[in-house]
Amino acid sequence: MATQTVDKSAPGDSAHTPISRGPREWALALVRSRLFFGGVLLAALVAFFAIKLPGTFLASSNLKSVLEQQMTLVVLALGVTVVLMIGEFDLSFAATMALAGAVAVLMMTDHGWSALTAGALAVVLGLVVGSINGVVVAYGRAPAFIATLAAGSALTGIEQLLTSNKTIAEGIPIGYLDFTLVPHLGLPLSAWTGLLLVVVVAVVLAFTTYGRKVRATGLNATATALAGISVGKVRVSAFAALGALAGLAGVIVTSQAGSYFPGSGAGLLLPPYSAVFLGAAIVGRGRFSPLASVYGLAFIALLERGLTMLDEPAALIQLIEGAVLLSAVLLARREKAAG
Amino acid sequence: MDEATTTALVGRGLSKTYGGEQALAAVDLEIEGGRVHGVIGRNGAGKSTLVKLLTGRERPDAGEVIVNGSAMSFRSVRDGADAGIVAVPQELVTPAAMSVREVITLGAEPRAAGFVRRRAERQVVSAVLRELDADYIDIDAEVASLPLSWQRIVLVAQFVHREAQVIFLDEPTAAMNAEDAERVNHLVRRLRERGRAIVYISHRFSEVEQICDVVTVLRDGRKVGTLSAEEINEDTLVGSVMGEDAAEILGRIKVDAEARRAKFGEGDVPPLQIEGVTVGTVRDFDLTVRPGEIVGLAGLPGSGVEDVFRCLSGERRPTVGAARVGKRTITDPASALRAGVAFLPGSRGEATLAEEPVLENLALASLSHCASHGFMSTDRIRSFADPVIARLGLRPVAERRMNELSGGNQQRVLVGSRILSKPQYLVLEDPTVGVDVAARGDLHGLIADLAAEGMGVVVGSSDPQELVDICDSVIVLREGRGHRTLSGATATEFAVVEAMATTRGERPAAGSRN
Repeated sequence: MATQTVDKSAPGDSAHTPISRGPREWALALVRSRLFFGGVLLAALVAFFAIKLPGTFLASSNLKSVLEQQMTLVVLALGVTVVLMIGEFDLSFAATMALAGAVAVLMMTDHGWSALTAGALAVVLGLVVGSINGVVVAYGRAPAFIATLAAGSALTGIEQLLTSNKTIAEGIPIGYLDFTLVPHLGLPLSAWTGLLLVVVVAVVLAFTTYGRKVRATGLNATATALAGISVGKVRVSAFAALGALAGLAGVIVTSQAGSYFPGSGAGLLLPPYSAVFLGAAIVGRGRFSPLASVYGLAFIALLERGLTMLDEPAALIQLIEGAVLLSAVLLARREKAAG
Repeated sequence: MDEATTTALVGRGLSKTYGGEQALAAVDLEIEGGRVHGVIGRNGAGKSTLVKLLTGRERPDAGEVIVNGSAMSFRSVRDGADAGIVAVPQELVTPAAMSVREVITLGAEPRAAGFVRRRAERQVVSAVLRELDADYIDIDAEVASLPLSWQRIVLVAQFVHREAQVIFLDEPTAAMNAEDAERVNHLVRRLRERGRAIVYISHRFSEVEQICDVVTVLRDGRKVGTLSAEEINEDTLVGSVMGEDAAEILGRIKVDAEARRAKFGEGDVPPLQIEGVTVGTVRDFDLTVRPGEIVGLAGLPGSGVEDVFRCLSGERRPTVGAARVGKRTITDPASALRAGVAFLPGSRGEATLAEEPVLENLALASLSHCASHGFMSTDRIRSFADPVIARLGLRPVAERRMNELSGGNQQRVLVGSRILSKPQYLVLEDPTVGVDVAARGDLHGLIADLAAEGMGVVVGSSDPQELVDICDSVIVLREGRGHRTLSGATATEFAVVEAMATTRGERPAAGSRN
């Protein structure tokens, strides 16, 4: 909630803004809009690397590989966005992801399940775990931060029990690996799935009554409940959505690696948050939205790829990413203060 | 003290423009120590802007602020406070989990080498409360556990501890019953005796009449008059602030009551009923509201009146019995709406999406009507909400964000959102709290119209007079029970207040000690 800011053009009690606009006003509004600002910023970043790395940075193979590599984060960030939009927090999704991936791999290697059913099971498992989180938070009234911290710990424990903390690669059907490997119309199925999900989640949240309920719950849960909306169901659904998406991410991770490996979730808890916050700060006027999150991901991914190609040390890349996120958030806060 | 006649604070030619709109135009003001200076005007008349400029929260576009003869240039509230000028906000913002003592000395603790000197602190705090004639407040109590009026006194004590000379009180008695309001007003008189200058902003004109030595009237950002002590009475105040005649609306409500009862009393719609309900502190409570009826609920805080409202809204499930309309039982807010009972809480913030546009707020309680196959669009909301927008005169503000609206308009939007869900019964906990006289009249008119169309209305108010004015009958709660039902000639403000008053004398009256 703290990052949801007021439009800086908000006038005082009695002021009002003219509604009619000519072409000049439209142009001005466009230039002032955050989308424009964000676009210019991203374009500047791309131009910088394109000049520094002529012929390689903008090569379609390079951009495609960025896209494919980011799919896990895209899927996770979409879910994180929904949970942040209802004003909650989830620290367990990375563990859910790792567990779902482990279970999918085990079903294939030890029980001979097909790639499709194992993948579907991973998603359903994620959905169930997310729903439980949601019920605990919405109806058990547990603070989400603590409840999902606990859930994440427990899920990691289960994962380690099931896999004995060992890499599993033998016996995974080739079809499972094809999901993230074999291109159809230029991109593997995993990438198409991720892109389709971006569109679906963005449309649902922007244009449906469900999306309205999600946003209203985050803005003022009491007001939403008094308007006859079951805030509890909305909360459960948001956690469930993140869980299911984490299940899918588990499939993508294990498919890309061609194996289950211990600790796959460890590095994937905070990057989605960074991307979502960065996107909200730069293009979302401090508000979360799926497209702003995707923008944040794209920004970080391109920055990271460019710096890596320039052979900058990983430590410096980390430092720069941290500085970018901090400046973006400060910028958004300043705007709020100015309003 | 000869301070009693010194000029403490002067505003000269103060002007402020927001986004092209003049919020304040060349206002002059002289505030003297030892006097209570009232500032009245409709919402949006410029009262809050004036406070912001004089306390340093915002800087004037033109004009100057003069303290003790020298022109000041406040850059922040902090600068204002350093010059002894402070504002107590309408919404209480105290760190609720801290004790009275900690809140009063917050940031100005007696200390030695970085440690708080506990004993000195206790003495200082007790002295301040004694000075304010409020030493009945336990200095170790948690602020959140205190009644609203005590919390406000604690906040004022905080400023007195820091030696504030000019204290702005914005709606200090809003949402308070008579007893609490009197306690706060006693504090104001006490501050005056002690030579402080008080600026008293209020919509409650009876209190302004009682307490203010001089009144400045604002209208549309301009000062339209200064009333001296002899000129201040409720009629001149109302007259100087609003044009519309509230009496006419109230007369209409009374005349209509008979006709409404005859027309809707025996209709098809079952009554909204509470029978033998136990909820919270309330025991064995009955209530029946028929279509077209306006029923008031009155009671002091703690009498259980809040619990009855929470039961009607579905937020609180009774342990015995239930609120119902016919066969439909209210178990949660969603089921209340399904039963045709729409509820507005007394605190507007609880029902508002403050950063969202008016249209979104209007649509919130009836999303499915604003969508086809689950998909919504602004056009669909607009066409669905249009009749209500027109009826409530919201067209000029329909595109604005909720937090840009005056209190009266916000309340109209919220009532509108409830009307849009097409309820049979409307439950309004305190519909006119913090709303100016004119908007208040509008809301009363709207309630009368809705009742005349057959809607049953339950109204609460911290102002007994309001309930007597607009309700067909008033049910008074006392100590968790329905104590008395007043209607017709028996329903007078005096009768309501008398019925509300608790027989147990455990709460000390203001000023009973010292």
